[in-house]
Amino acid sequence: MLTYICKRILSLIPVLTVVSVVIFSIIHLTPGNPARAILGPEASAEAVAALAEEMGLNRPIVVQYFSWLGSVLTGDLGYSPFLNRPVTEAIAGNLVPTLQLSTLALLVAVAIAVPLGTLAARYRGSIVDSLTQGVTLFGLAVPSFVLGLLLMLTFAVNLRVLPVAGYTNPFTDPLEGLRYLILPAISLGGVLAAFLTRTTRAAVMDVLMADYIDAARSRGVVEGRLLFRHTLRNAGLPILTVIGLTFGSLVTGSLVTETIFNIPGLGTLLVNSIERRDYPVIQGVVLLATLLYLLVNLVVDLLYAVVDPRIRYSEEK
Amino acid sequence: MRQRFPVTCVAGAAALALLLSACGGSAEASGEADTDARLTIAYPAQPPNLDPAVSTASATVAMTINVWEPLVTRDSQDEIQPMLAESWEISDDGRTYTFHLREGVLFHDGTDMTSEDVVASLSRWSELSGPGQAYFSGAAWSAVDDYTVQVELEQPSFGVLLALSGDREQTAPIMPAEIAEAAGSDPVTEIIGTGPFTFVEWEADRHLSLDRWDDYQPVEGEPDGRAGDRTAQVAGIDYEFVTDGATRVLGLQTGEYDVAMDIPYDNAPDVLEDESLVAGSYPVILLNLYYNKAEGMFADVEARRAIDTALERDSIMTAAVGEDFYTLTHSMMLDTQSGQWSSDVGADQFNQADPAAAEAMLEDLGLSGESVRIITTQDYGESYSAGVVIQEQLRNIGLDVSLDTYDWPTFTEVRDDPSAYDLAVIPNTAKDDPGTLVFFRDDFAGFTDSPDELLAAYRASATLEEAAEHYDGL
Repeated sequence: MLTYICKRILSLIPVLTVVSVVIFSIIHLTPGNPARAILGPEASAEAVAALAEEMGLNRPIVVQYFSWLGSVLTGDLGYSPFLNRPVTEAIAGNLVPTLQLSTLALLVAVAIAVPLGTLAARYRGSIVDSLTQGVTLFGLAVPSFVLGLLLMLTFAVNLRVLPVAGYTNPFTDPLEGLRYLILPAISLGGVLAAFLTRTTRAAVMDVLMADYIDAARSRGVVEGRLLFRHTLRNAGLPILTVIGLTFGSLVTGSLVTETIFNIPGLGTLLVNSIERRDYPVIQGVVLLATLLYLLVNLVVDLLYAVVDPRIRYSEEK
Repeated sequence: MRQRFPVTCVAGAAALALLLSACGGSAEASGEADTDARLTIAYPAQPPNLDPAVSTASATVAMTINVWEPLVTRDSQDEIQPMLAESWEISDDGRTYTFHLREGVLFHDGTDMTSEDVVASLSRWSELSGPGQAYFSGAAWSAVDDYTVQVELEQPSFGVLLALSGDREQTAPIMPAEIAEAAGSDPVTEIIGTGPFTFVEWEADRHLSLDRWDDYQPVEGEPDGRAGDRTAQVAGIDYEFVTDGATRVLGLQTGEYDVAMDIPYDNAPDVLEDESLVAGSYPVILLNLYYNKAEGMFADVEARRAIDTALERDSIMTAAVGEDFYTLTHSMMLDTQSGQWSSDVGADQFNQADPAAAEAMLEDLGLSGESVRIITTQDYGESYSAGVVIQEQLRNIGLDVSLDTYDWPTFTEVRDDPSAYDLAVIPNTAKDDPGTLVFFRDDFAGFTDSPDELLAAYRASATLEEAAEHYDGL
């Protein structure tokens, strides 16, 4: 097990290296000048050129990359001239709201998807199943920002029960924090829930057709226990896989959701940084998002063993 | 001017400033404002830094205009009025300005504002800012005594007080000498001024907060424009940076924000029809069409004339901002500035909207069917919408027109490349002084052969009247 984990962690290095090269190349080859963003749209060409030189933007891109990589290896992601603070500090400040939002969105998705998908599978062909299928189709078709604006219009503007936008840390004020996070979490988690419901339904349906379910039923195992213990646990693998894979969509979805709901998370930071061509921050955030994505999938792989005891990560043949 | 810059579609009201009646209404009813309340303003963009000497961004001025104060300012009629200087004299040759400072004005750190601070602040500003470089090149600021400051100019100019009192961008703030000196050409990081509000904090991408300054020493007189008594009427101002336009409107409607700046034109009806809101609009942006005069077909003035003849501006501006939020003018300044800057040059040829004549002109030039590249940006919706209509109008006179859209940072780079386009639709911020208009510069989009001699003569005008004479030439 430990060897497996070490191997997997080591395998992150080439992936991260490739991602860093790609990201570095893309953002440096994209037109747009951070010096211009600092000095304003009507600053003279001379002033912009002087600042670009001072910021080291005129050095060859390979030199810039290795100088950045060197710093990253020592844990220094660089300094943002716009935020006027180190990138690590900026990311740390914006990471918490994003993690809270993603976790809550994931909880929303799982809380909706697992019971709904299981019931739809159990009562296949019934009205519950048809309704579930319809709602999930709608959920998959509606982009999260449209859902977000609809929720905002309904709950914040018309009903006035929740705030339109903004953020309060739930750790300092749990109730107020949740009031701000619940709409974005639903809008972000909604799409994921739709996808997850369909996966759960398919997986549970598969298991329900297995012989051992019939056997259990003939032994007199009660229906509820049968469904949630015997079936769901065995259907867990595909569900877990999908949760891991869709974590990426939570990160990308947060770009839009955070902007609409004005949450000061990594998504907002990334969007604003792209707009002002704040290279060190863009690189830092993308690198972190990649790392998070890889780690979540590593955790999911490890959880397979928990869900299915037959799976062993060992060197034994 | 007309040839260089024919489409002067002026978008009056690129920003709608909206005030919620919860604040304004109750204050009106009781006759007194709630001075313990804080004002929350949803602002669309955050400034790159808070130093107007370095940054040309208008957000920089918006955030700091209540913290920093200039020597002189303007009233609602655009007349120069005292602020930190209580009076001033101009020598007969127009080269020496002497400012007498108000005594007893404190900086937010509790120190007394003296001539030493003014000299340090304005020497730096003269060197770094656009208006400073235009009017104070080679000028020497000096302290006569603790409360008297003098500036010796290399040449007289009517623009000195205009530049010092500017409030659109690159204002001329007075800060403690040690802060100005320590910053050099970098943006200042300590925000300490003499204004009615003190700087509290700026959390990047989140908010910027100001508190009322209780020891504020206002200038005497009723508030009028930026002049007069500016004592704070609220306990503080919180600027929330809300990039999404729809969110700003919804937040305003639910009372989360007291004021929302820059309402998207599409949302204007929501706001205008909402009785709990007070909407106001003011002109800020000139939406301009730039010809690439360095390369391609528009290096020829006759080709530019043909396009100028074809365009029908009302359709362009209606598509860009809606029919209520623009005025057309042949002038290169805002309509509201016509008291100071007016000229009939080009008026007879403005907005001819004659595609048939234009087509004939192109045919004479042998340019029929020629391909034309327009560049624009979707980050400023009005630019993009205007670009689409211009494309259509030019297609109708037989040109083969493509429209390339970029995000704003890319656009600012592409527009500097003469090989990348023929026409560019650019929203420009309005200026107080025609001499600082960007399209006169050869390093800006369009690549105008800068009229240096005219500009020098204009800037050297001793009086506004004399400058106005050169305005026709420009």
